[in-house]
Amino acid sequence: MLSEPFMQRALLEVLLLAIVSGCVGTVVLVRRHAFVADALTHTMFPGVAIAFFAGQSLFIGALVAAVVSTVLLTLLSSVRRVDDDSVLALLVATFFAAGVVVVSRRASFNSDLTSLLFGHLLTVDRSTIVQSAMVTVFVVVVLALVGKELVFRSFDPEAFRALGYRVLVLDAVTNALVALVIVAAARAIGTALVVALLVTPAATARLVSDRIPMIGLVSVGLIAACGVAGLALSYVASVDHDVRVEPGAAITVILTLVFGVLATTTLLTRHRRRIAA
Amino acid sequence: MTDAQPLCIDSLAVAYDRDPVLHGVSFDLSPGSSLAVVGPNGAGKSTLLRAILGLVPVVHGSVSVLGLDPVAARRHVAYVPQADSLDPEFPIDAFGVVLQGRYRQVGWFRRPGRSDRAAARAALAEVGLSDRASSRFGTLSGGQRQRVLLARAIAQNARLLLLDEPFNGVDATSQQLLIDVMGRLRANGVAIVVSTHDLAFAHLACSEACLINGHMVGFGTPAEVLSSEHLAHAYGPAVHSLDNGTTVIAAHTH
Repeated sequence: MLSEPFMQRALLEVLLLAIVSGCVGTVVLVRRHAFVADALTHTMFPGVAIAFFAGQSLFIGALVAAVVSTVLLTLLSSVRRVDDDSVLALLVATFFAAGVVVVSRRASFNSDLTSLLFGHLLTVDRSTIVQSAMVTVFVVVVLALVGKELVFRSFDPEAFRALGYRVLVLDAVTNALVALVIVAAARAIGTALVVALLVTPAATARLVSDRIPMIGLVSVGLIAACGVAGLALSYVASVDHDVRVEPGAAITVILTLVFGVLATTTLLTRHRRRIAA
Repeated sequence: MTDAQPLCIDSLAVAYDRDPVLHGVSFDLSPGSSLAVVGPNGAGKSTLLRAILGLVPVVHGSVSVLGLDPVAARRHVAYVPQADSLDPEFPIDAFGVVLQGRYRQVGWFRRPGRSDRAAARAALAEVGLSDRASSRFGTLSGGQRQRVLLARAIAQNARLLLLDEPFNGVDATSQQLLIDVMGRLRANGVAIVVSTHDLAFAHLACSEACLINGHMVGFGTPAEVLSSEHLAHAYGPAVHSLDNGTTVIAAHTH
Protein backbone atom coordinates (compact mmCIF):
# COMPACT_ATOMS: atom_id res chain seq x y z
CA MET A 1 0.00 0.00 0.00
CA LEU A 2 2.83 2.36 0.89
CA SER A 3 4.70 1.64 -2.31
CA GLU A 4 2.26 3.96 -4.09
CA PRO A 5 3.71 7.51 -4.22
CA PHE A 6 0.27 9.08 -3.71
CA MET A 7 -0.13 7.09 -0.49
CA GLN A 8 3.29 8.22 0.73
CA ARG A 9 2.34 11.84 0.09
CA ALA A 10 -1.02 11.39 1.79
CA LEU A 11 0.65 9.80 4.81
CA LEU A 12 3.18 12.61 5.12
CA GLU A 13 0.40 15.20 4.83
CA VAL A 14 -1.66 13.44 7.52
CA LEU A 15 1.30 13.36 9.92
CA LEU A 16 1.99 17.07 9.39
CA LEU A 17 -1.68 17.90 9.92
CA ALA A 18 -1.62 15.76 13.09
CA ILE A 19 1.14 17.89 14.60
CA VAL A 20 -0.36 21.23 13.66
CA SER A 21 -4.00 20.49 14.46
CA GLY A 22 -3.17 18.55 17.64
CA CYS A 23 -1.29 21.57 19.01
CA VAL A 24 -3.78 24.23 17.92
CA GLY A 25 -6.71 21.99 18.92
CA THR A 26 -5.32 22.04 22.48
CA VAL A 27 -5.36 25.86 22.39
CA VAL A 28 -8.93 25.76 21.08
CA LEU A 29 -9.85 23.45 23.98
CA VAL A 30 -8.35 25.58 26.77
CA ARG A 31 -9.76 28.76 25.22
CA ARG A 32 -13.19 27.04 24.89
CA HIS A 33 -13.10 28.21 21.31
CA ALA A 34 -14.64 25.23 19.48
CA PHE A 35 -17.48 27.36 18.12
CA VAL A 36 -15.04 30.00 16.89
CA ALA A 37 -12.95 27.34 15.16
CA ASP A 38 -16.09 26.04 13.50
CA ALA A 39 -17.03 29.55 12.40
CA LEU A 40 -13.59 30.19 10.92
CA THR A 41 -13.84 27.06 8.79
CA HIS A 42 -16.95 28.55 7.18
CA THR A 43 -15.61 32.08 6.83
CA MET A 44 -12.55 30.78 4.97
CA PHE A 45 -14.70 29.02 2.41
CA PRO A 46 -15.22 31.97 -0.01
CA GLY A 47 -11.45 32.62 -0.08
CA VAL A 48 -10.78 29.02 -1.03
CA ALA A 49 -13.60 29.08 -3.58
CA ILE A 50 -12.45 32.29 -5.27
CA ALA A 51 -8.87 31.05 -5.45
CA PHE A 52 -10.07 27.78 -6.93
CA PHE A 53 -11.92 29.50 -9.76
CA ALA A 54 -9.30 32.14 -10.36
CA GLY A 55 -6.84 29.32 -10.86
CA GLN A 56 -4.77 30.60 -7.95
CA SER A 57 -3.34 28.53 -5.12
CA LEU A 58 -5.97 27.48 -2.55
CA PHE A 59 -3.36 28.24 0.07
CA ILE A 60 -3.20 31.93 -0.91
CA GLY A 61 -7.00 32.19 -1.16
CA ALA A 62 -7.52 30.63 2.25
CA LEU A 63 -4.76 32.81 3.69
CA VAL A 64 -6.40 36.02 2.47
CA ALA A 65 -9.81 34.89 3.76
CA ALA A 66 -8.16 33.90 7.05
CA VAL A 67 -6.63 37.35 7.53
CA VAL A 68 -9.92 39.13 6.72
CA SER A 69 -12.06 36.89 8.92
CA THR A 70 -9.54 36.87 11.81
CA VAL A 71 -9.41 40.66 11.87
CA LEU A 72 -13.21 40.97 11.62
CA LEU A 73 -13.79 38.31 14.27
CA THR A 74 -11.29 39.75 16.74
CA LEU A 75 -12.52 43.32 16.31
CA LEU A 76 -16.24 42.53 16.33
CA SER A 77 -15.85 40.32 19.43
CA SER A 78 -14.26 43.24 21.30
CA VAL A 79 -17.36 45.40 20.73
CA ARG A 80 -19.17 45.18 24.04
CA ARG A 81 -22.65 45.87 22.69
CA VAL A 82 -22.63 42.86 20.36
CA ASP A 83 -22.25 39.43 21.93
CA ASP A 84 -19.79 36.90 20.52
CA ASP A 85 -22.41 34.40 19.38
CA SER A 86 -24.20 36.98 17.23
CA VAL A 87 -20.90 38.09 15.69
CA LEU A 88 -20.04 34.50 14.81
CA ALA A 89 -23.46 33.67 13.38
CA LEU A 90 -23.39 36.83 11.28
CA LEU A 91 -19.90 36.17 9.92
CA VAL A 92 -20.55 32.50 9.22
CA ALA A 93 -23.75 33.12 7.24
CA THR A 94 -22.35 36.02 5.23
CA PHE A 95 -19.04 34.42 4.31
CA PHE A 96 -20.50 31.02 3.56
CA ALA A 97 -23.17 32.55 1.35
CA ALA A 98 -20.49 34.51 -0.50
CA GLY A 99 -18.60 31.26 -1.08
CA VAL A 100 -21.67 29.48 -2.41
CA VAL A 101 -22.45 32.42 -4.75
CA VAL A 102 -18.95 32.09 -6.19
CA VAL A 103 -19.13 28.31 -6.56
CA SER A 104 -22.65 28.26 -8.02
CA ARG A 105 -21.53 30.32 -11.03
CA ARG A 106 -19.72 27.24 -12.28
CA ALA A 107 -21.20 24.38 -14.29
CA SER A 108 -19.34 21.79 -12.22
CA PHE A 109 -21.01 23.21 -9.08
CA ASN A 110 -21.61 19.97 -7.15
CA SER A 111 -18.28 18.26 -7.58
CA ASP A 112 -16.38 21.51 -6.98
CA LEU A 113 -18.34 22.22 -3.82
CA THR A 114 -17.72 18.70 -2.54
CA SER A 115 -14.01 18.89 -3.17
CA LEU A 116 -13.68 22.27 -1.43
CA LEU A 117 -15.73 21.22 1.59
CA PHE A 118 -14.31 17.73 2.05
CA GLY A 119 -10.88 17.82 0.40
CA HIS A 120 -8.91 15.23 -1.54
CA LEU A 121 -6.22 13.71 0.64
CA LEU A 122 -5.16 11.22 -2.02
CA THR A 123 -4.37 13.89 -4.59
CA VAL A 124 -2.19 16.20 -2.47
CA ASP A 125 0.91 17.25 -4.37
CA ARG A 126 4.40 18.16 -3.34
CA SER A 127 3.67 21.89 -2.99
CA THR A 128 0.74 21.23 -0.64
CA ILE A 129 3.03 19.17 1.59
CA VAL A 130 5.66 21.92 1.57
CA GLN A 131 3.00 24.48 2.55
CA SER A 132 1.72 22.24 5.36
CA ALA A 133 5.27 21.74 6.61
CA MET A 134 5.87 25.50 6.68
CA VAL A 135 2.63 26.13 8.54
CA THR A 136 3.46 23.36 11.02
CA VAL A 137 6.90 24.80 11.82
CA PHE A 138 5.46 28.31 12.13
CA VAL A 139 2.61 27.27 14.44
CA VAL A 140 4.84 25.17 16.70
CA VAL A 141 7.33 28.05 17.04
CA VAL A 142 4.56 30.58 17.84
CA LEU A 143 3.07 28.25 20.46
CA ALA A 144 6.48 27.69 22.05
CA LEU A 145 6.92 31.47 22.26
CA VAL A 146 3.53 32.58 23.60
CA GLY A 147 2.08 29.33 24.97
CA LYS A 148 2.31 30.34 28.61
CA GLU A 149 0.54 33.65 27.96
CA LEU A 150 -2.19 31.87 25.96
CA VAL A 151 -2.86 29.54 28.88
CA PHE A 152 -2.85 32.39 31.43
CA ARG A 153 -5.25 34.45 29.31
CA SER A 154 -7.60 31.50 28.92
CA PHE A 155 -7.57 30.64 32.62
CA ASP A 156 -7.90 34.09 34.19
CA PRO A 157 -8.54 36.93 31.73
CA GLU A 158 -9.17 39.52 34.50
CA ALA A 159 -5.83 38.96 36.24
CA PHE A 160 -4.13 38.72 32.86
CA ARG A 161 -5.48 42.14 31.86
CA ALA A 162 -4.63 43.52 35.31
CA LEU A 163 -0.98 42.62 34.69
CA GLY A 164 -0.98 44.91 31.67
CA TYR A 165 -1.15 42.27 28.93
CA ARG A 166 -3.07 43.14 25.77
CA VAL A 167 -5.83 40.58 25.43
CA LEU A 168 -6.79 41.72 21.93
CA VAL A 169 -3.33 40.97 20.52
CA LEU A 170 -3.28 37.51 22.02
CA ASP A 171 -6.81 36.74 20.81
CA ALA A 172 -5.79 37.77 17.30
CA VAL A 173 -2.84 35.35 17.56
CA THR A 174 -5.15 32.51 18.66
CA ASN A 175 -7.61 33.17 15.83
CA ALA A 176 -4.75 33.41 13.34
CA LEU A 177 -3.36 30.03 14.47
CA VAL A 178 -6.76 28.40 14.02
CA ALA A 179 -7.10 30.03 10.61
CA LEU A 180 -3.65 28.78 9.61
CA VAL A 181 -4.53 25.19 10.46
CA ILE A 182 -7.63 25.48 8.28
CA VAL A 183 -5.47 26.98 5.52
CA ALA A 184 -3.06 24.07 5.78
CA ALA A 185 -5.77 21.43 5.83
CA ALA A 186 -8.14 22.94 3.24
CA ARG A 187 -6.77 20.96 0.28
CA ALA A 188 -6.41 17.62 2.03
CA ILE A 189 -9.33 17.44 4.46
CA GLY A 190 -11.56 20.28 3.25
CA THR A 191 -12.86 23.30 5.11
CA ALA A 192 -15.89 21.49 6.54
CA LEU A 193 -14.08 18.51 8.07
CA VAL A 194 -10.99 20.26 9.46
CA VAL A 195 -12.95 21.33 12.53
CA ALA A 196 -13.06 17.63 13.48
CA LEU A 197 -9.24 17.63 13.65
CA LEU A 198 -9.29 20.73 15.86
CA VAL A 199 -12.03 19.80 18.31
CA THR A 200 -12.44 16.01 18.61
CA PRO A 201 -8.85 14.89 19.39
CA ALA A 202 -8.28 17.53 22.10
CA ALA A 203 -11.65 16.72 23.68
CA THR A 204 -10.65 13.04 23.69
CA ALA A 205 -7.22 13.80 25.15
CA ARG A 206 -8.84 15.93 27.88
CA LEU A 207 -10.64 12.77 29.05
CA VAL A 208 -7.32 11.07 29.82
CA SER A 209 -5.16 13.96 31.08
CA ASP A 210 -5.33 17.09 33.27
CA ARG A 211 -2.06 18.51 31.90
CA ILE A 212 -1.93 20.76 28.88
CA PRO A 213 1.36 19.48 27.36
CA MET A 214 0.08 15.92 27.72
CA ILE A 215 -3.27 16.86 26.13
CA GLY A 216 -1.31 18.28 23.19
CA LEU A 217 0.83 15.14 22.82
CA VAL A 218 -2.13 12.78 23.06
CA SER A 219 -4.05 14.88 20.48
CA VAL A 220 -1.16 14.70 18.01
CA GLY A 221 -0.82 10.95 18.58
CA LEU A 222 -4.55 10.39 18.16
CA ILE A 223 -4.77 12.28 14.88
CA ALA A 224 -1.69 10.48 13.57
CA ALA A 225 -3.05 7.06 14.53
CA CYS A 226 -6.60 7.70 13.29
CA GLY A 227 -5.15 9.39 10.19
CA VAL A 228 -3.16 6.30 9.28
CA ALA A 229 -6.14 4.08 10.04
CA GLY A 230 -8.44 6.23 7.90
CA LEU A 231 -6.00 6.23 4.99
CA ALA A 232 -5.59 2.46 5.17
CA LEU A 233 -9.36 1.95 5.37
CA SER A 234 -9.89 4.19 2.37
CA TYR A 235 -7.20 2.38 0.36
CA VAL A 236 -8.42 -1.11 1.20
CA ALA A 237 -12.03 -0.15 0.52
CA SER A 238 -11.34 1.31 -2.90
CA VAL A 239 -8.59 -1.02 -4.16
CA ASP A 240 -9.78 -4.34 -2.74
CA HIS A 241 -13.55 -3.81 -2.66
CA ASP A 242 -14.11 -1.07 -5.21
CA VAL A 243 -15.98 1.11 -2.69
CA ARG A 244 -14.99 4.78 -2.76
CA VAL A 245 -14.37 6.14 0.74
CA GLU A 246 -12.87 9.61 1.01
CA PRO A 247 -10.03 9.31 3.60
CA GLY A 248 -10.80 12.71 5.18
CA ALA A 249 -14.31 11.53 6.06
CA ALA A 250 -12.99 8.14 7.24
CA ILE A 251 -10.49 9.86 9.58
CA THR A 252 -13.25 12.07 10.99
CA VAL A 253 -15.50 9.12 11.69
CA ILE A 254 -12.71 7.09 13.37
CA LEU A 255 -11.73 10.07 15.56
CA THR A 256 -15.35 10.47 16.64
CA LEU A 257 -15.65 6.74 17.40
CA VAL A 258 -12.54 6.85 19.62
CA PHE A 259 -13.99 9.86 21.43
CA GLY A 260 -17.32 8.09 21.87
CA VAL A 261 -15.75 4.95 23.30
CA LEU A 262 -13.49 6.88 25.71
CA ALA A 263 -16.24 9.25 26.82
CA THR A 264 -18.56 6.34 27.55
CA THR A 265 -15.84 4.49 29.47
CA THR A 266 -15.03 7.59 31.52
CA LEU A 267 -18.68 8.18 32.32
CA LEU A 268 -19.17 4.56 33.36
CA THR A 269 -16.02 4.57 35.54
CA ARG A 270 -17.15 7.75 37.29
CA HIS A 271 -20.62 6.36 37.76
CA ARG A 272 -19.24 3.14 39.25
CA ARG A 273 -16.94 5.09 41.57
CA ARG A 274 -19.85 7.21 42.75
CA ILE A 275 -21.85 4.09 43.51
CA ALA A 276 -18.89 2.53 45.33
CA ALA A 277 -18.36 5.71 47.37
CA MET B 1 9.87 53.97 43.99
CA THR B 2 9.48 51.99 47.19
CA ASP B 3 9.14 55.34 48.98
CA ALA B 4 6.23 56.44 46.83
CA GLN B 5 2.73 56.27 48.29
CA PRO B 6 1.19 52.94 47.17
CA LEU B 7 -2.07 54.67 46.38
CA CYS B 8 -3.26 58.29 46.07
CA ILE B 9 -6.82 58.84 44.87
CA ASP B 10 -8.10 62.40 44.43
CA SER B 11 -11.79 63.18 43.77
CA LEU B 12 -12.08 60.20 41.44
CA ALA B 13 -15.11 59.76 39.18
CA VAL B 14 -15.62 56.75 36.88
CA ALA B 15 -18.26 56.38 34.17
CA TYR B 16 -19.15 53.65 31.67
CA ASP B 17 -20.65 55.09 28.47
CA ARG B 18 -21.35 58.42 30.23
CA ASP B 19 -23.27 56.73 33.08
CA PRO B 20 -21.43 57.67 36.28
CA VAL B 21 -20.95 54.61 38.50
CA LEU B 22 -18.65 56.03 41.16
CA HIS B 23 -17.67 59.56 42.16
CA GLY B 24 -16.20 61.64 44.96
CA VAL B 25 -13.58 59.11 46.07
CA SER B 26 -10.45 60.57 47.71
CA PHE B 27 -7.95 58.86 49.99
CA ASP B 28 -4.27 58.00 50.37
CA LEU B 29 -2.80 54.70 51.43
CA SER B 30 0.66 54.31 52.98
CA PRO B 31 2.99 51.28 52.73
CA GLY B 32 2.02 48.44 55.05
CA SER B 33 -1.57 49.57 55.48
CA SER B 34 -4.63 47.58 54.49
CA LEU B 35 -7.90 49.04 53.35
CA ALA B 36 -11.32 47.42 53.40
CA VAL B 37 -13.59 48.73 50.66
CA VAL B 38 -17.10 48.13 52.00
CA GLY B 39 -20.43 48.74 50.32
CA PRO B 40 -23.58 47.02 49.06
CA ASN B 41 -23.75 45.11 45.76
CA GLY B 42 -23.44 47.48 42.83
CA ALA B 43 -21.92 50.21 45.03
CA GLY B 44 -18.81 50.38 42.85
CA LYS B 45 -16.34 48.21 44.82
CA SER B 46 -15.15 46.30 41.77
CA THR B 47 -15.13 49.53 39.76
CA LEU B 48 -12.80 51.09 42.33
CA LEU B 49 -10.42 48.12 42.05
CA ARG B 50 -10.56 48.37 38.26
CA ALA B 51 -9.80 52.09 38.42
CA ILE B 52 -6.69 51.32 40.48
CA LEU B 53 -5.65 48.87 37.73
CA GLY B 54 -6.30 51.48 35.04
CA LEU B 55 -8.96 49.28 33.40
CA VAL B 56 -11.87 51.77 33.48
CA PRO B 57 -12.17 55.32 32.11
CA VAL B 58 -11.54 57.98 34.77
CA VAL B 59 -13.71 60.99 33.87
CA HIS B 60 -12.64 63.21 36.74
CA GLY B 61 -9.91 63.38 39.37
CA SER B 62 -6.83 61.19 39.46
CA VAL B 63 -5.43 57.84 40.60
CA SER B 64 -1.73 57.47 41.27
CA VAL B 65 -0.24 54.06 42.07
CA LEU B 66 3.29 53.99 43.57
CA GLY B 67 3.76 57.50 42.17
CA LEU B 68 2.90 56.31 38.65
CA ASP B 69 -0.05 56.27 36.30
CA PRO B 70 -2.10 53.08 37.04
CA VAL B 71 -1.30 51.58 33.63
CA ALA B 72 2.44 52.11 34.12
CA ALA B 73 2.27 50.67 37.65
CA ARG B 74 0.40 47.46 36.72
CA ARG B 75 3.31 45.07 37.04
CA HIS B 76 3.88 46.22 40.64
CA VAL B 77 0.23 45.60 41.48
CA ALA B 78 -1.22 42.13 42.04
CA TYR B 79 -4.91 41.50 41.46
CA VAL B 80 -6.52 38.54 43.21
CA PRO B 81 -9.90 37.64 41.64
CA GLN B 82 -12.66 35.67 43.33
CA ALA B 83 -11.74 32.00 43.14
CA ASP B 84 -15.23 30.97 42.06
CA SER B 85 -15.04 33.22 39.00
CA LEU B 86 -12.55 30.77 37.46
CA ASP B 87 -13.34 27.62 35.47
CA PRO B 88 -12.95 24.59 37.83
CA GLU B 89 -12.50 22.23 34.85
CA PHE B 90 -9.47 24.10 33.51
CA PRO B 91 -6.49 21.73 33.12
CA ILE B 92 -3.92 23.47 35.33
CA ASP B 93 -2.43 22.53 38.71
CA ALA B 94 -1.95 24.77 41.76
CA PHE B 95 1.76 25.23 41.07
CA GLY B 96 1.02 26.26 37.49
CA VAL B 97 -1.36 28.96 38.72
CA VAL B 98 1.17 30.34 41.23
CA LEU B 99 3.89 30.36 38.56
CA GLN B 100 1.72 32.76 36.50
CA GLY B 101 2.63 35.40 39.08
CA ARG B 102 6.17 35.33 37.67
CA TYR B 103 5.24 35.69 33.99
CA ARG B 104 5.68 39.48 33.88
CA GLN B 105 9.22 39.17 35.25
CA VAL B 106 9.97 36.24 32.93
CA GLY B 107 8.67 38.18 29.92
CA TRP B 108 7.31 37.09 26.55
CA PHE B 109 8.94 34.24 24.61
CA ARG B 110 10.78 32.81 27.64
CA ARG B 111 10.14 29.99 30.06
CA PRO B 112 10.15 30.47 33.85
CA GLY B 113 13.60 29.70 35.26
CA ARG B 114 14.82 28.03 38.43
CA SER B 115 14.43 31.20 40.52
CA ASP B 116 10.85 31.63 39.30
CA ARG B 117 9.98 28.07 40.26
CA ALA B 118 11.62 28.59 43.67
CA ALA B 119 9.58 31.78 44.20
CA ALA B 120 6.39 29.94 43.26
CA ARG B 121 7.20 27.08 45.65
CA ALA B 122 7.92 29.55 48.46
CA ALA B 123 4.66 31.39 47.83
CA LEU B 124 2.71 28.13 47.89
CA ALA B 125 4.40 27.24 51.20
CA GLU B 126 3.47 30.70 52.55
CA VAL B 127 -0.23 29.88 52.13
CA GLY B 128 0.25 26.36 53.53
CA LEU B 129 -0.41 24.43 50.34
CA SER B 130 2.99 22.91 49.47
CA ASP B 131 1.48 19.44 49.54
CA ARG B 132 -1.18 20.37 46.98
CA ALA B 133 1.22 21.78 44.36
CA SER B 134 0.34 19.18 41.73
CA SER B 135 -3.40 19.04 42.45
CA ARG B 136 -5.61 20.37 39.70
CA PHE B 137 -6.88 23.84 40.66
CA GLY B 138 -10.53 22.81 40.30
CA THR B 139 -10.17 19.89 42.75
CA LEU B 140 -9.20 22.22 45.64
CA SER B 141 -11.78 23.60 48.08
CA GLY B 142 -12.99 27.20 47.68
CA GLY B 143 -10.71 28.38 50.47
CA GLN B 144 -7.70 26.55 49.06
CA ARG B 145 -8.31 28.03 45.60
CA GLN B 146 -8.42 31.50 47.11
CA ARG B 147 -5.10 30.76 48.87
CA VAL B 148 -3.54 29.59 45.60
CA LEU B 149 -4.57 32.88 43.97
CA LEU B 150 -3.08 34.79 46.91
CA ALA B 151 0.13 32.76 46.48
CA ARG B 152 0.22 33.84 42.83
CA ALA B 153 0.08 37.47 43.99
CA ILE B 154 2.86 36.81 46.54
CA ALA B 155 5.06 35.24 43.84
CA GLN B 156 4.63 38.43 41.84
CA ASN B 157 6.44 40.46 44.57
CA ALA B 158 3.92 43.27 44.16
CA ARG B 159 3.96 46.42 46.30
CA LEU B 160 0.18 46.74 46.20
CA LEU B 161 -2.31 43.87 46.45
CA LEU B 162 -5.95 44.10 45.33
CA LEU B 163 -8.28 41.37 46.60
CA ASP B 164 -11.83 41.05 45.27
CA GLU B 165 -14.17 39.56 47.91
CA PRO B 166 -11.56 37.04 49.11
CA PHE B 167 -13.85 35.56 51.78
CA ASN B 168 -16.79 34.53 49.61
CA GLY B 169 -17.32 30.81 50.13
CA VAL B 170 -14.13 30.38 52.16
CA ASP B 171 -13.86 28.05 55.18
CA ALA B 172 -12.75 29.28 58.62
CA THR B 173 -9.24 27.76 58.40
CA SER B 174 -8.57 29.48 55.09
CA GLN B 175 -10.00 32.76 56.41
CA GLN B 176 -7.59 32.75 59.35
CA LEU B 177 -4.73 31.82 57.02
CA LEU B 178 -5.56 34.65 54.63
CA ILE B 179 -5.61 37.12 57.54
CA ASP B 180 -2.22 35.82 58.80
CA VAL B 181 -0.62 36.07 55.38
CA MET B 182 -1.98 39.58 54.91
CA GLY B 183 -0.36 40.53 58.25
CA ARG B 184 3.04 39.22 57.16
CA LEU B 185 2.82 40.99 53.80
CA ARG B 186 1.94 44.26 55.53
CA ALA B 187 4.92 43.86 57.87
CA ASN B 188 7.07 43.78 54.70
CA GLY B 189 5.59 47.09 53.55
CA VAL B 190 3.05 45.74 51.07
CA ALA B 191 -0.18 47.76 50.93
CA ILE B 192 -3.46 45.86 50.52
CA VAL B 193 -6.91 46.85 49.24
CA VAL B 194 -9.74 44.37 49.90
CA SER B 195 -13.29 44.68 48.68
CA THR B 196 -15.55 42.90 51.16
CA HIS B 197 -19.02 42.48 52.63
CA ASP B 198 -17.53 41.11 55.81
CA LEU B 199 -17.54 43.76 58.53
CA ALA B 200 -15.86 41.52 61.11
CA PHE B 201 -13.00 40.94 58.69
CA ALA B 202 -12.68 44.68 58.05
CA HIS B 203 -12.32 45.29 61.79
CA LEU B 204 -9.91 42.37 62.28
CA ALA B 205 -7.54 42.63 59.35
CA CYS B 206 -7.66 46.19 58.08
CA SER B 207 -6.11 49.42 59.27
CA GLU B 208 -8.46 51.56 57.18
CA ALA B 209 -11.94 51.29 55.75
CA CYS B 210 -13.63 53.05 52.87
CA LEU B 211 -17.39 52.90 52.71
CA ILE B 212 -18.88 53.48 49.26
CA ASN B 213 -22.29 53.48 47.63
CA GLY B 214 -21.93 55.12 44.23
CA HIS B 215 -19.90 57.75 46.05
CA MET B 216 -17.59 57.72 49.06
CA VAL B 217 -19.61 57.71 52.28
CA GLY B 218 -16.63 57.69 54.64
CA PHE B 219 -12.94 56.94 54.99
CA GLY B 220 -10.94 56.34 58.18
CA THR B 221 -10.26 53.57 60.68
CA PRO B 222 -12.78 50.71 60.56
CA ALA B 223 -14.08 51.77 63.97
CA GLU B 224 -14.82 55.32 62.72
CA VAL B 225 -16.16 54.48 59.30
CA LEU B 226 -18.16 51.34 59.95
CA SER B 227 -20.40 53.03 62.51
CA SER B 228 -24.12 52.35 62.50
CA GLU B 229 -25.03 55.73 60.98
CA HIS B 230 -22.52 55.46 58.15
CA LEU B 231 -23.59 51.90 57.38
CA ALA B 232 -27.24 52.87 57.46
CA HIS B 233 -26.43 55.66 55.03
CA ALA B 234 -24.73 53.22 52.65
CA TYR B 235 -26.91 50.14 53.02
CA GLY B 236 -30.28 51.59 54.08
CA PRO B 237 -32.70 49.40 56.02
CA ALA B 238 -30.55 46.26 55.73
CA VAL B 239 -28.41 47.46 58.65
CA HIS B 240 -29.32 46.36 62.15
CA SER B 241 -27.70 47.19 65.48
CA LEU B 242 -27.74 44.24 67.85
CA ASP B 243 -28.27 44.65 71.60
CA ASN B 244 -24.62 43.84 72.32
CA GLY B 245 -23.53 46.90 70.32
CA THR B 246 -22.33 45.15 67.15
CA THR B 247 -23.66 46.09 63.74
CA VAL B 248 -24.76 43.51 61.20
CA ILE B 249 -25.99 43.73 57.64
CA ALA B 250 -28.92 41.45 56.92
CA ALA B 251 -28.71 39.15 53.94
CA HIS B 252 -29.82 40.87 50.76
CA THR B 253 -33.55 40.51 50.34
CA HIS B 254 -34.27 41.48 46.76
